[in-house]
Amino acid sequence: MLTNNSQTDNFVKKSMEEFSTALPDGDWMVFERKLDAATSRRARKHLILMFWGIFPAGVAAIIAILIMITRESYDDTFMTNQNNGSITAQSIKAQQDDFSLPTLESIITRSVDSEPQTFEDKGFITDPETTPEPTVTDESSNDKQANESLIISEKTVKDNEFTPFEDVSTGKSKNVMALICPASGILTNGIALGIVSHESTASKPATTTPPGIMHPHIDYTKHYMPLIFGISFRYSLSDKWSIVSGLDYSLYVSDISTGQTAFKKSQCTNYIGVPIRADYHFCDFGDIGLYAGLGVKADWCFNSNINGTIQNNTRNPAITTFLSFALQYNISPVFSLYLEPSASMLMTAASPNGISTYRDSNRIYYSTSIGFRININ
Amino acid sequence: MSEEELINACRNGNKDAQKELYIQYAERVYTLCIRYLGDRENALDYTHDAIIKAFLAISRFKYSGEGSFYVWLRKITINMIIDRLRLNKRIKQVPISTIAEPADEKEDSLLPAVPPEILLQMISCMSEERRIVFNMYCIDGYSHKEIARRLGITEKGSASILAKARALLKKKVFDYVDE
Repeated sequence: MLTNNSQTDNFVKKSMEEFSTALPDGDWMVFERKLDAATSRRARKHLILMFWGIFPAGVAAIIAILIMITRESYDDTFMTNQNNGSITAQSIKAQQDDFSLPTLESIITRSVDSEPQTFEDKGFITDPETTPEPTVTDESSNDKQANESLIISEKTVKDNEFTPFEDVSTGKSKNVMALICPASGILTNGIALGIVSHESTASKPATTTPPGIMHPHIDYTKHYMPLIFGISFRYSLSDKWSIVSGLDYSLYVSDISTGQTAFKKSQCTNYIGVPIRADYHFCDFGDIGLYAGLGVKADWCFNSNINGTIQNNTRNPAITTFLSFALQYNISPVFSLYLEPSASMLMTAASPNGISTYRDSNRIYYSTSIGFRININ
Repeated sequence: MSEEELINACRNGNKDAQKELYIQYAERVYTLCIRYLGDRENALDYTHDAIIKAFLAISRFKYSGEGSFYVWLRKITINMIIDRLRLNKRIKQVPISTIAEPADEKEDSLLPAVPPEILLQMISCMSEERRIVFNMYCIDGYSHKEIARRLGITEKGSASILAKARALLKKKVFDYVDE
């Protein structure tokens, strides 16, 4: 039996649901003007957000393209740790100019008066199995013929696995690269508020060095938190669950101080990655959605340079698993902007050139990803 | 056009479909706003704002049958009204008092004699807290738990406000019939 209250409630409910009050005359025109104004405001807001969402990604893409197109082949002046281990006078001079090494004359003089100069004297650690100690055979920097005899033939070098670490490229691209690398670092650091994720002294590369690759003794490294730009696609499995994949560009910037001369270099390592992730949609705040995701990502290094000098890179992908929290702003049913801080764990070796990056030093690391998303359904 | 077709057309920005939907639902939303706000002028502004909000978010609406659009629209309207009222003025928590005793059956039998527009006026004349709780519970089907969460009060407070609102409504109905 219904209570009196229930009967009252039911009656009132029925009356009110069936009853409607007439609107004033001309109401539709007033409403239409308001709707048009609201639509225009929203379109302007979307344009502004799209600009600020795409602009950093566009700048990063331009930087990545510049890095790729200005990459040049090795110059004929280089240092080698190969069989005859000679050092050209030109390469020593180039080093001297850039990195304040001991003077050319003092190096050559020392080689006459003392034991043959080795790389360890310069603060380099070489792989003893593949890199015999080089010797300086020339005693005079003015002897052009003697200099020429020091130059290793291209064939000899190309026949062996070899990566120069010190300055070897003297072409125009070096200046461009030197500009781009700090610019990339500034962009990353500016956006990431200059967050230094890891500083270490006397660090060594955390990964196995590929054969023949020479790496210096590192006194100090400072890694900056990476910033990742991307474009991704979301496929909704249900109201709450979805699958996300796409393409990410990551830039890892580190400051490295090496050797006994304590000169500092900036290392820029660029990756292209493909993530795949399962997302859970928590809730919406207006047009902003909150998601959490768990996934795996493969990154390939397509460029690595130290102060503009291109480094040899491994082609194996770096695999990471990650947990992310995303804020997604829905510009329209199809297009969204996202901001995703995430915690990742590196599952494989990441260092492409034997020098440690941010995620070699921190197997579990944090990063922030921003970009553009296309919702498929 | 069917309701679903109208909604799809609205998603594409079709003005005629928007006008059609507006004409179909605006008066009901207006009445709902009068019930909650008690003021016709403000109710018209809130009606426009609520329907604009619905049209701008219509891309996220999933049609699930006849009437589902109005249910969604009503939810948007009620949430907007409550959010703005909470923003403008804190909804006071009424101290828990003794619940009013159920009225006689005689008073309930008077209800059918009251026309809907008079009933609407009686509801509009209540205090803000009683008006909102009464509308949410009796007409729009919210539970005390949901009302408490939305208004920032306790469930017992919600029940107490509702009891007072019912008692007041019954008194007004009795007075109206006596006239």
